[in-house]
Amino acid sequence: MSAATIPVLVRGTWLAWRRDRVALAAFALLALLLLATAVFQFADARREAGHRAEHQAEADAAFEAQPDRHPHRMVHYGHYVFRTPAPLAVLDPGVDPYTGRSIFLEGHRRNTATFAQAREAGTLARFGSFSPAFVVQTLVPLVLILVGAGAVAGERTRGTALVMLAQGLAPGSLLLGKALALAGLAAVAVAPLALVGAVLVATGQEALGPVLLLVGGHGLYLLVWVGITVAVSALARTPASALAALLVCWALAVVLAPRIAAEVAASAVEVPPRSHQGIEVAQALRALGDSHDANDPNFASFRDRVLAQYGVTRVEDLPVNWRGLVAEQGEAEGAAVMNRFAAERQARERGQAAVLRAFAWASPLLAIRHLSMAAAGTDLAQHHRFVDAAEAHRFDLVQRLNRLHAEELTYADDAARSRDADAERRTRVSAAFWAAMPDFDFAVAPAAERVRAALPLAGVLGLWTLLAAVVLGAVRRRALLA
Amino acid sequence: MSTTLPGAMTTATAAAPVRPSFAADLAREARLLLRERGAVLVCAVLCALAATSVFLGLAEVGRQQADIERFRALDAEDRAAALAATTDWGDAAYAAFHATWDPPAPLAFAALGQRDVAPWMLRVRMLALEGQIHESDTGNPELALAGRFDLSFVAAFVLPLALVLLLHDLVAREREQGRLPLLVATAGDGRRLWIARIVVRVGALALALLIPFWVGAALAAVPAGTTALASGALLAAAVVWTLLLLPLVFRPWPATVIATAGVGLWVALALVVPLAGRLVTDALVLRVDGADVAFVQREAVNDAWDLPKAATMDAFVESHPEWADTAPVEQPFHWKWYYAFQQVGDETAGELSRAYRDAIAARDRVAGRVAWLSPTVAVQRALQRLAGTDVAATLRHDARIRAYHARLRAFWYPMLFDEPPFDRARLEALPEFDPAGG
Repeated sequence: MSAATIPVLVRGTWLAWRRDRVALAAFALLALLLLATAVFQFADARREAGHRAEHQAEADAAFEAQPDRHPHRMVHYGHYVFRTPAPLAVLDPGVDPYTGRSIFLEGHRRNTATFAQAREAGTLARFGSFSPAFVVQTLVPLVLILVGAGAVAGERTRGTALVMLAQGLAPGSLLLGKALALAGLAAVAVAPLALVGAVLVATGQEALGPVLLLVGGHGLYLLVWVGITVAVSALARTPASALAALLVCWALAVVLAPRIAAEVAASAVEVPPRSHQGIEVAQALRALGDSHDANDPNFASFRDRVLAQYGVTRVEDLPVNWRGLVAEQGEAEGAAVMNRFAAERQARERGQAAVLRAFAWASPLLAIRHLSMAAAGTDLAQHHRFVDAAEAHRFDLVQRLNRLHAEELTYADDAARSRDADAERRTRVSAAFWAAMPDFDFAVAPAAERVRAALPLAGVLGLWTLLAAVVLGAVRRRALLA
Repeated sequence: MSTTLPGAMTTATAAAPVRPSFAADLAREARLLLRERGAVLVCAVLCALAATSVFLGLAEVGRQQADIERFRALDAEDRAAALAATTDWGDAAYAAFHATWDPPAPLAFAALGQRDVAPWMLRVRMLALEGQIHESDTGNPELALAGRFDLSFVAAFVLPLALVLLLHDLVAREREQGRLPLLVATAGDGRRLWIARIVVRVGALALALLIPFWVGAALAAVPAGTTALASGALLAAAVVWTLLLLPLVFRPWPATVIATAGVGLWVALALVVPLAGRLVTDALVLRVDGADVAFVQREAVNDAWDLPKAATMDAFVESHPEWADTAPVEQPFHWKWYYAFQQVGDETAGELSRAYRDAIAARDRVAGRVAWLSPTVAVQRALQRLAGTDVAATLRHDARIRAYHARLRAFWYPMLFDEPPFDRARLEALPEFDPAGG
């Protein structure tokens, strides 16, 4: 009989919640917040994406509008690139507000991203960014707790549990019914995520895999809270003590765990300050020599190699501009040094991120937070991907200009251009070359890559759900004890 | 219930009903509190969290101080090496980077504030400053997203939750257990009983926060006045939240309903009001895009290469009349012209850059008004302000870097414009950054 009674139980619980002022207030609060954040985040993401696209177009136009000039001038003129936000940033902006939005690309330097939103936002909104994912991860569990704390404990204190028992209801069925009723509420909370995800998939902006993982992950996460809530409600003596215990659980897992994890990560893996590293990079680059100086002794062995390759004895006799070759070689050596330092730094930051992810075993919040960011493509890995792509684009651009420097200019004109105005005029190459440079093309990581990154965390969440189910099964005997 | 002697009672009843002193009320309530396992646990957990936050804050400030020491040492060493390879003034000015830093104030351990998003160590050189000053990648963004576990976080977010836990069943429990009428009758004056009970509970939580703070303040050698003000802010947070929760506590509702309402209030004031504040800020304050500042500066600096030299020099002399007599630049390249167009580039972007900073300050002022509606924002801002880690402090640091850059220019211009023979010894007098004044 118990299988047939479960739907009745679920409907009965829902009816009771509808009559309950607390539950109604909680529902209203939840709906309001989800609506507010969805609208806010959508508008914010749209505006931000628009801004960045506008700036990128402006920067591209400015680059292409440069007149005929010496190619090395363009190396120093440089270029700006802006990070296009990931489509799923509408649901979970992740670290986007905390990282710079644009990078200035120029010769000889690997610049960092500048102008982070967080620096402009000030003291408001430092408790995570207010997004639909934030609401589902942080506040919906709270609503589930407020509504569900009395689910079993209430039946017991009112004596209705005893009546159900007398009618032959199995204790497990009561817990299952309550859990399903609460899960219905959770489903309502996940629905907006699913809706936005479906729109993104339908309009071809996003692949199905990451959306399924993101939405499904939030579903699993809320199921964990449903399980914990019903289990504690079954164990507690009164609804009040169930509520107090659950609030403590929530505060520990949601309010405290992320910050404690961050402190542990910061202590466990040290990332040297960027300014220290900047000095080390400058020192390493100085050791390479100055590629603006064609006679720099550091390029002597390179010169010998090039002369041997072309079978000449003087750089003046080379069929290409020696100065351009030095610029090219210097850029390559410099980029290798800068990339080595950057890779080391990123490895350390990834180490910190791995510590944060390890806390997924301590709090389901960290599991879903990192799953969600990984699936959306708004996590640290994505930021690294952006700065690496920007660096690759910078290097390509500078080397194309250095190639022009080597092939389109004569060594004699290039050497005389500071003194001789006619030689200077001849060192200017056609502006048509600027427009021929490839545009920066950056998009969020391929869906398969993001799914691979998010899957282990989905596994952890799955285990959390399993654990909640096992605990629920284990406490069912306590459920009906008066 | 009474602690007075029976004899004393009989003599006093003739004049007025005698009740125990308020101090005795407090002592009794404190004893009752100590017998309550749940309440003691809440106080102990809050105290442990506050102590952890103080420990972590002190460790972080220590790390930042060590980083600054190391930064300055590396910087001096690097500058010496860079200058050793130079042979003329212009080249030396190009090669020499200079450290600027914003040391954490003693109280910074309690409120790390903006220090994880606004850089506090930066090297600048004689080139256009607008191209150097807007660095924003300070650390691992996933850590910044999580936020810091400092005392201001505990006071702003955890303390109100602890108050909800400790106060929600204050009255409801007595009512649910049927003790309420008896309690009020024996206490004589119901209001005094509740006041004593509330003072003891809120006081216990406040002390759980204040004692670790005082230990940290002593270790960090925070001036007594600052410690007192910060203690006042922490206490005010406890009192304001209590006053907000009391109307709920005295409602004839079940304890669960009161707790739910209390948590709802927390969500509203700690999370929703700041969000709404951000929406209002976005609507009220015209956003100045930082990218525009850098863009305008870059265009101005770049265009100078193609403009007639006189155009740059005239613009430069207009803002620097002391160099009006400098000889015109004839050759395709001259260092004084090079640094003049760097400065003209900064001046071209100056208005936009000021607007950018003004917009940040204006947003901060709106946030200050939002603080009147949210004790969470208010206590964070109060502590950050006292600790010199607020938005205003980052803007002051920005101004110091600018002032220092001006001192650097004032040092180099005579070398670049008057062109005395290159003399490395004169570089000994290079101005050093002063974290107090720039």
